Amino acid sequence: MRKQPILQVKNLKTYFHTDSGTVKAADDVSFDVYPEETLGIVGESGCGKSITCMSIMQLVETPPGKYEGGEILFDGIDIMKASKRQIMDIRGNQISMIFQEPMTSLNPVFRVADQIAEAIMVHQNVNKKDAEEQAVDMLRKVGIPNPERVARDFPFALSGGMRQRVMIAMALACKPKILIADEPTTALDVTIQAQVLQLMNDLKDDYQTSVIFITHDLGVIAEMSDRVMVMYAGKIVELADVEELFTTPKHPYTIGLMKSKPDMSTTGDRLTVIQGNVPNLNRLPSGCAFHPRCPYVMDICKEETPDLRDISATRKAACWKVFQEKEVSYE
Amino acid sequence: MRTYIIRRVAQMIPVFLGIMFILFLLLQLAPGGPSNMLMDPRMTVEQKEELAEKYGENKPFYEKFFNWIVDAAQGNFGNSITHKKPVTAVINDFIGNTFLLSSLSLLVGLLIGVPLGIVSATRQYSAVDYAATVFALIGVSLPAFFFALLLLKAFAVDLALFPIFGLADPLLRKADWLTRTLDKAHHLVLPVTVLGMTQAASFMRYTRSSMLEVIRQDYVRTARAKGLKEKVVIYKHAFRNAMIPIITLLGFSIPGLLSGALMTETIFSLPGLGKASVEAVSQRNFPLVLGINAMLSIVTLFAALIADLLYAAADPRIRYD
Repeated sequence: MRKQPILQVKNLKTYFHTDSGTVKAADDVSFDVYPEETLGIVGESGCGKSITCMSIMQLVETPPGKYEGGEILFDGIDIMKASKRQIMDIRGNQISMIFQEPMTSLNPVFRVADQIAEAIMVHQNVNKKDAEEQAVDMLRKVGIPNPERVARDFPFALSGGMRQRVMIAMALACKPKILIADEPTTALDVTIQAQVLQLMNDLKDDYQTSVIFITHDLGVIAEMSDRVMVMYAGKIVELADVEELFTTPKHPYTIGLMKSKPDMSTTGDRLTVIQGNVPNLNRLPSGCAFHPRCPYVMDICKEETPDLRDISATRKAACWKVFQEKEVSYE
Repeated sequence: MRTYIIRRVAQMIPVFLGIMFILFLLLQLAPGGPSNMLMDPRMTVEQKEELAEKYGENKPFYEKFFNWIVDAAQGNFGNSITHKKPVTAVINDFIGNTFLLSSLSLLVGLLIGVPLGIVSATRQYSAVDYAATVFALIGVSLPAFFFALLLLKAFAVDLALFPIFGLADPLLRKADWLTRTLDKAHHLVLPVTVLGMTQAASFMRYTRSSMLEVIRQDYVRTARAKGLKEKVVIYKHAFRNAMIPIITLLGFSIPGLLSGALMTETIFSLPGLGKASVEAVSQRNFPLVLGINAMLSIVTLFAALIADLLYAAADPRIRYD
């Protein structure tokens, strides 16, 4: 069977209390991350993928956000209860993160080498000169041409793809156990996107890092992930191995996503879409949040929220219809 | 860089001429002239004419302007009528005190305003933030002269903690250096408080809004994600960026300080440029008015240039070539 999980998220609840009501951005989210795997998280904008990962890093702005409950177990400690000291020790060292916007994620007034060296010096007992040498090494590893010169540049002198490489270099500088990539290629154009994905895959193997990969691009997910977690309105609706999920999606939302994927073989037809819109997270529908858009909706869906249950050894889903088919016993 | 500075200094010349032209125009429109204030009521009409002629009041406006520019270019700013000394000598006598008052006030303003703005922004909507914002609002909206009078009434008159006017106690004229310095500092407390608080209030407001914008930026989140201490995140990563607009404000606050000193010096009767220029205006001492304003406009023009240069030093994205 599988190895022991390296990170366990249990019943994570991160809410935003706004004037127009409470937004349950991550609502009772539970999942495990295993060593050296890539876990993909997909979902539409605002489904809680980023907030879930920001909660792991404890980077959600509080207020307006609030951690309402749950546990995040990593390396024997519960991050939700950890001291500031422990969290700073984890951030950038054990768990690193790269962000969606390479253009704005680097500090414009510091040189590239200084920004990477800073991450190294915070966690390792090295002097500035050694840290800067390591920074140049990292730049070389992420495939930046002429790393010595780029190290002395300010971020404004670099293109988006280059900046994202710098972000990756910074994130991997301390050889983290987990790398969280929050839509790292969304802001890049397609050729650069492919290069960056390739780079991440290579480095992941070199560094034996687990990766949590957030995206709304199913093509990227298929290429990058071992397992995939589908989120809808702050909840996990399906979690499965990547092949299983793509060949036999179970949850109606996942089925809808797969159908709406553009396909090279079916030319001329209109793209299939999931009817309706993502619900306003302030006013979620009763029962299953997906029921107003679900083609297989049943009476129970409108009244009770399905929980995430094991469907098979490698698969979880939260859907009344799936439970019925699999004859999962009701409580 | 060097060519940029040379170009900017060259550009100052037409701007300066423009400023002086407007000043001449305003003085031309103002009623009376130097001779009016010196007239003896018993003078005959001929004597009055003679006096006016002596001060060149009957010459056409453009000729006065042209003469002044030609003389000024040779370093001759004329004589102050009331002081019976060259204008440059009078400015020289007073500029030290004004410089002392303004630079101390600027220092107080920065030391109070900037940290207060940072704390206020990092704890937005907290009690500290509300207190600091109210302080800044009062500081910005309360007129300096009124604040000065309040302070005078409370601390100089009622409590008698500080002297009411001047910069030096005449009885200590022969005392040693240390006693005189302490005496001067004692005299400066209230004026520096008045001018420093107005400065602090505006620096606080700028720092706060600048920091509020910066701490929401992605690179601040990146800094946190690196595992840096919150202090390093705020004071290094956020503040270095928030500083950029504040530096511009710094350059432009220098002329504001000098004109603020005008009010403050007059109320506290400090022998400075501000007081001298208020007196010069009321005495129609036009050569001194022109001299002081010429100096202020040059200071202002250079302050703007220095602000632009500091701006480039703080922000690597800005390059002048």
